[in-house]
Amino acid sequence: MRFDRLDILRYGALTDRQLVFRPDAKLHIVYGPNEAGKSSALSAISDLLFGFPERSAYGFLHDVGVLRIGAQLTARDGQELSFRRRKGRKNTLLGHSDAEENLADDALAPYLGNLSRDVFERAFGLNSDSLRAGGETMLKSGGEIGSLLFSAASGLTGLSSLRKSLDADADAIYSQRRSKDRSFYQALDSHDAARKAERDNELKAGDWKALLKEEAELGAEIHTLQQGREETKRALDRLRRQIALEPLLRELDRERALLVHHEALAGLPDGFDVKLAATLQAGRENAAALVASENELTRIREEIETIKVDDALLLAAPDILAAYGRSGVYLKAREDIARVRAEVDDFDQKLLQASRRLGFREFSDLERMQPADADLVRLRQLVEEGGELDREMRQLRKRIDEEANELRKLEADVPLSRIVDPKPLSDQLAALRPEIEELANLETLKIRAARARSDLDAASARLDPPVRDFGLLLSVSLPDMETLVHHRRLIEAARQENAQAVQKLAALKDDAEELQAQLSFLEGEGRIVSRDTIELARHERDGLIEALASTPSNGALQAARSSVQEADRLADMALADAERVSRHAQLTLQQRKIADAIVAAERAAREAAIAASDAVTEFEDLFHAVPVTPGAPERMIEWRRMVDGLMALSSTLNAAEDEYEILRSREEVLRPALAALADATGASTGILPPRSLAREISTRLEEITRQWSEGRTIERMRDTAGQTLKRLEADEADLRGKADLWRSGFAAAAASAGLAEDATIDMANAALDIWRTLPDLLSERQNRDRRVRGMARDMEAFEGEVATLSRSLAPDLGSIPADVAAGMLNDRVTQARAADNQRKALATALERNELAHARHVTEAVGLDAQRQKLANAAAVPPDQLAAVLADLVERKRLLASEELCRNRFIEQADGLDEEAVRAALVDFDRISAGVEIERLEAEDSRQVNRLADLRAGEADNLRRRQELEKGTGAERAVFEKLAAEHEAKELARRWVVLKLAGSLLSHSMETYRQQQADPVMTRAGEVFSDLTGGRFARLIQVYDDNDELQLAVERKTGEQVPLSGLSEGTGDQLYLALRLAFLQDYCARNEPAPLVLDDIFQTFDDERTAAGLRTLAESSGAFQPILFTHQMSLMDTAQRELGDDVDLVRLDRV
Amino acid sequence: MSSFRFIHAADLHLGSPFQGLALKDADLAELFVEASRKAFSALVDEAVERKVDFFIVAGDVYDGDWKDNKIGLFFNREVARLDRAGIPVFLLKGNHDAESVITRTITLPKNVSEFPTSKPGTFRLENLKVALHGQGFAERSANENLALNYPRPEAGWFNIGVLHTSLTGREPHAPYAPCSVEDLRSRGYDYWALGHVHDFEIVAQDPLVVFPGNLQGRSIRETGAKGAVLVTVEDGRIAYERLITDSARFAELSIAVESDDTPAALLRHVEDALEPLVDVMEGRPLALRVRMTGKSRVRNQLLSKAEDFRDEVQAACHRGHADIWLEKLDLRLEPDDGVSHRSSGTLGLDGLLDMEGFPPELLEEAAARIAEIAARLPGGSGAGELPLGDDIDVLLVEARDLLVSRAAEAG
Repeated sequence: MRFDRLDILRYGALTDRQLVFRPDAKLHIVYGPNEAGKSSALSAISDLLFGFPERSAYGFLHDVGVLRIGAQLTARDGQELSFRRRKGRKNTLLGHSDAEENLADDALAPYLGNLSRDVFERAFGLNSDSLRAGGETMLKSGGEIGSLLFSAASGLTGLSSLRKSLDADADAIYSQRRSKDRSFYQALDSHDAARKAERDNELKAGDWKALLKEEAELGAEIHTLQQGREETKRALDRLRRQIALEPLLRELDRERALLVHHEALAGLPDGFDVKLAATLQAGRENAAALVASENELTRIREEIETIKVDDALLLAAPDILAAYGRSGVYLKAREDIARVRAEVDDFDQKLLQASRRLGFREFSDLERMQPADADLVRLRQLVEEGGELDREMRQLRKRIDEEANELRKLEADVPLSRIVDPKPLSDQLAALRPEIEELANLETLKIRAARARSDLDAASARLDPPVRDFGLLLSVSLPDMETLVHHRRLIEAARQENAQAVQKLAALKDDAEELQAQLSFLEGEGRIVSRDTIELARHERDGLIEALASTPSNGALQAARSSVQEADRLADMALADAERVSRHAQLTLQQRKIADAIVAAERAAREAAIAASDAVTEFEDLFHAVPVTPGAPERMIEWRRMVDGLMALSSTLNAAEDEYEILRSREEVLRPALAALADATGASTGILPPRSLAREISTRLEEITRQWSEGRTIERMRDTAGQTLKRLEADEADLRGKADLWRSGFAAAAASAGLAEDATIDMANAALDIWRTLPDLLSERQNRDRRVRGMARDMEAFEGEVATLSRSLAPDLGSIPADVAAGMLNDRVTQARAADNQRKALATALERNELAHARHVTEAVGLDAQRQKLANAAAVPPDQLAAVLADLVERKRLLASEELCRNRFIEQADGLDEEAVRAALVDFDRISAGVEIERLEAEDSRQVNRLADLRAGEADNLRRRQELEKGTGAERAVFEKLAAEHEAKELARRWVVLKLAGSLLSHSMETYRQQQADPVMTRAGEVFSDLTGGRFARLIQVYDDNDELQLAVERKTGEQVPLSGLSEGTGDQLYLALRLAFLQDYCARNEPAPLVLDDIFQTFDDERTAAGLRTLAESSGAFQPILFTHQMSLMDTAQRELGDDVDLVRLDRV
Repeated sequence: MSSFRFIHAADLHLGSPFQGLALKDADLAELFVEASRKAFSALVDEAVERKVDFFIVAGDVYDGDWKDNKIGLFFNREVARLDRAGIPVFLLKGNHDAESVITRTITLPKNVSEFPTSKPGTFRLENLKVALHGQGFAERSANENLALNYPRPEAGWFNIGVLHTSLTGREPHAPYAPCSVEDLRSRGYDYWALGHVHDFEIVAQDPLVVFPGNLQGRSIRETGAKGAVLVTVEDGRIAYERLITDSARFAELSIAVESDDTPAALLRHVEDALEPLVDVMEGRPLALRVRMTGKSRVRNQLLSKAEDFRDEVQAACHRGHADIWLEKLDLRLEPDDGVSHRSSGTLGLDGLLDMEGFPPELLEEAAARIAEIAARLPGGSGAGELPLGDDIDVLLVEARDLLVSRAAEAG
């Protein structure tokens, strides 16, 4: 199958592209620069033949649904098909017409043969990467011909490593050598572990039955032992009971024997003993109480007899006590009376002094002259008013003096000269200020201008080439930079072209010389029979033969014969020396061509030289108006850049100078105005520059402003002081009037207080003080006087009362002081009252004791009767009742003791009656019983221990059974065992499959090698020889040291080279040779497919490329080679190498 | 006639190992290991809670060759619970019980009555007026029609026939105690409690003939819910309901692959197909076999990375439900390279391998390899004609597929 046409209708970025492949061409080269859609076209071929993949990367411009590729194919048998392919799952093949009728899905089968997409892309597709990778693999892997050949043929690489990886995977699972890293053995180990666990966890029937048997035996022994133990216990109990009961029975007998002695009292009723005991006790207690009460009566009566009481004193007791109560007051008055009398005298003295201070001789005068309170109030007010007036007057005077002093000082401070208002002058100066400030730049400008000038001079001196007239330079128009650069490029291009032309000419001349040398060499080997010479000879021969035919003659015959011989000779010579003749003809042809080329090249060189010169002239013309001699373009571009700098400097200088001049003229205008201001402010003018003068005026104006301000302040203060003084003086006159008025009122008030008319305020104050204290003094004195009189009266009454009482009740106290007598009377009353109280208490006790005595007497009679009654009951005289009671008590004790004993017996007899016990105790021997008990106890202990052991055994048995019942069974282990078996089986299967896969691969490779290798190898060797320009003769198979078959190559010289001895480039050629040989072989037996190559010669040098192109073209008999490239030079080479055999197809940029 | 309820169970197969599971997850393995015991305990719980009047086990309490008597102790302990709850148990020996050593070792509680094996026997529950007739297996195989010898029904009583049988044949179960439904019907009983067949089946409605199925599925052949049957008799009317007791399940999922399906699409198919399964699980863990059939363009890719793909299918199962576990991934895919699968001469590896049958030396090598590793297989699993489960040709085809897919992957 071959492509006649490829229609890329809508695919990737391509639309409606048609690549037409010339049917008679041996190699199609599809040229497309980068981005022309070469990759899309390559991919389109696969998609066209095998359908679009599920996800196409080429649906970015056109909708996936409308993607279309088409082609016209011709099968080997001449069958043609024009069709289109759309994307889809079914019916993707369409007719080529716009109707796009469906074609059968297998319509391409006759054209594709058995090819699958994968195989097509790998075997019939080759790019420089896969070529290089294939070459490298080949050189690296070295041996294994089958694998190498097949890899090269099918494009499948890495088959050796695939087999190694299969073997490695298999080995990781299993090999004969056991290893814990191999998964099969891991599974075996898991299986063993699980089996062990199964055995460990399994409960065997025998084990379980043994446990049950053990349980039964233990139960039986426990039962027997328990019965034995019960018997032992019973015997022990019986003996222990007998030992305990035997003494109890004896004690019981003893108690009962004692009770027999008191049998006579058994007839007395219950409670008789209690009643008897109570009666006897009551009798004894009553007798004792009777004796005691009689003794008490006697004692009380005697005591009453001894008590004496003064009844008269008791009667007067209230009066005595009252008098005694007042004796304290009496004693105090007697103490105080002298002190109070002294106080009365003191007050009298003070009143006398006050009288005298107010000017009275006697105290009585004072009392008489005492003024009314109203007068004193009035006087006090006036005194206060007078004091206030006096204070105000003095303050006012002080202020008047101060103000007068201040005024005087201010008047002395009046300035000497007239003060000027600074405001108008300041305003004038402010108006001039901006212009003055501007003058500050004057100096700076001057310096800047000077620097600009010196820079300009220096720069213009540096200009290269130098400028004859700088001024003129600035005025003329100069070529701009762009123009200069443009001309520089023109000059360079022209010069380069010139150089190339010269070079080409030289090369042609060299070639011509070489050709001439070769021709000379060829000609030197003998005459060269050219085709023309033969043609000429034949022409001549033909003419002579025709002449002979028309006019036969010997001469003509001879001539014809010799001409025939000559022609034949020439032809024979040409034939004999065909190669030399052909080479000579070829060289002559080339010589002619070169001669033509030299003429053309010489013409071109001349034209290029003129063009270069013109370019320089045009450049120099640009400067014809400029006062400079132009240099080379580079130099003039730099010169032009410097001139731009100079121009910038020049304009800076001009600007600075202009500005300076403007400021200068402004300065002149300012000068007179400033002089006038200086005059007005009194500033020293001198010959100051305007800005300094302005500063002087400004300083002067500040001074004037300050003076102006101070003068205004002093004037305002002086006016204020004058006005204040006048107001104060008026206030003073007013106050004097008020003082006169006050004085007349004060004189009258002073007289009313007993003062003279000319009395002063101080005098009035002193009098007022005295008059204020006088009423209190008088009141205090009267109070003391009243107290003295009252005290004397009370003392006298007390003494009288005590004397009266003493006289009537205690005449012995008549001569002692009243207070002492009152005290003694009081003591005597107290004693009398105590005696009286004692007498009353004793009388009460006597009465109570008499009543008790009478009661005891009565009770004694009753008790006697009761005793008699009890004696009668007991049938004894009353005096023997005590003995009866003692008997009764003893009998009761004996009865209680007997009962206790009996109870103890019952408790210990375990329900046996006394008789049975007594019967059992017949012949009882305590000692023998003790010995028997010891024996039985030992037996019991033995039985207990044995039972404990059996119980432990029983519990252990139970525990073991329960553990087995609840414990883990073997299910888990068996599960794991089966899982391990399962896993081992899976792994075994996997291992076998991997091993077989490896073997299958090896086997197939070997079979392939045996069946296919030889003819293909021979053909590959031929192709390889072609590709290497005959440097290598063929491919060979040799056995290596390991006796394994290896691929090698043989040089033209017969030297054998292993693949490892080849260079990379030669490796690539070998790989290409193998691929081409295989495809030729394959296509001879199958429907051929086109070989699509993508720029495979990128890494080839020219010689290899040419050889490659030739070899590809030679393959065209077997399949259609299509080479995609972006290298234009490849097309030249192909045309040169293949001429008309190559079909150039262009794929232009989208 | 009185009213009563009873449980009819069969085929407990206690201690029976799970077949074909290689679960790597230890917790899950534990769950499957304990599943049979749990299922029976759950059934006993139901019996006690529902206060059933009696309990029938129609054969195969144990697995025949199971030798660990602990499982007998377990059974004993569970029926002792029924004893404590006053529930009598009627036990019929099945083919597995006949050969079990456990039945001879463990003495069962007094509430258990076992049918004789030499001839049919009858147990009577006087208070309920219920008569149970049955004959157990004396030996592993019983080829006679046992049902024909069962006694006449007790007149006026509720008669139950207990029998371990495959009836007229229930593949893949062995044909034991063969009989027809007519044979059963001819006895005139009210209910036939059958055992042996592991799937639940109502064989006949009049009288009611029931296979309750086994209590717990144990391999991929025993899929779906498993349990026993609760039968309620009220005044002669019989009603039944299934008591589902299993604690883990098996299920199969078959996925028909489309040629263009990518591996991701296949995983999506699995996930989609899981949705209905999640309902079927009823909260139990599920051991799932996924089978993929059909032509696939990615067949080689899947084969060459079978382990990885298996893991991805397991992950997809877990996305469907956290308790779905892949029991096995069964890839039965055919190649489909889009245009044709015809060999491309000698150019592709598949063409290279397209040989007329495998050469004898390869067959010999394959046989030697299989013999070599089969000899090492544990537990005697390497014995037999096909120690690896498939014959040499199948393994060689698999090897060829693997080779082609690995080569394609290597480029």
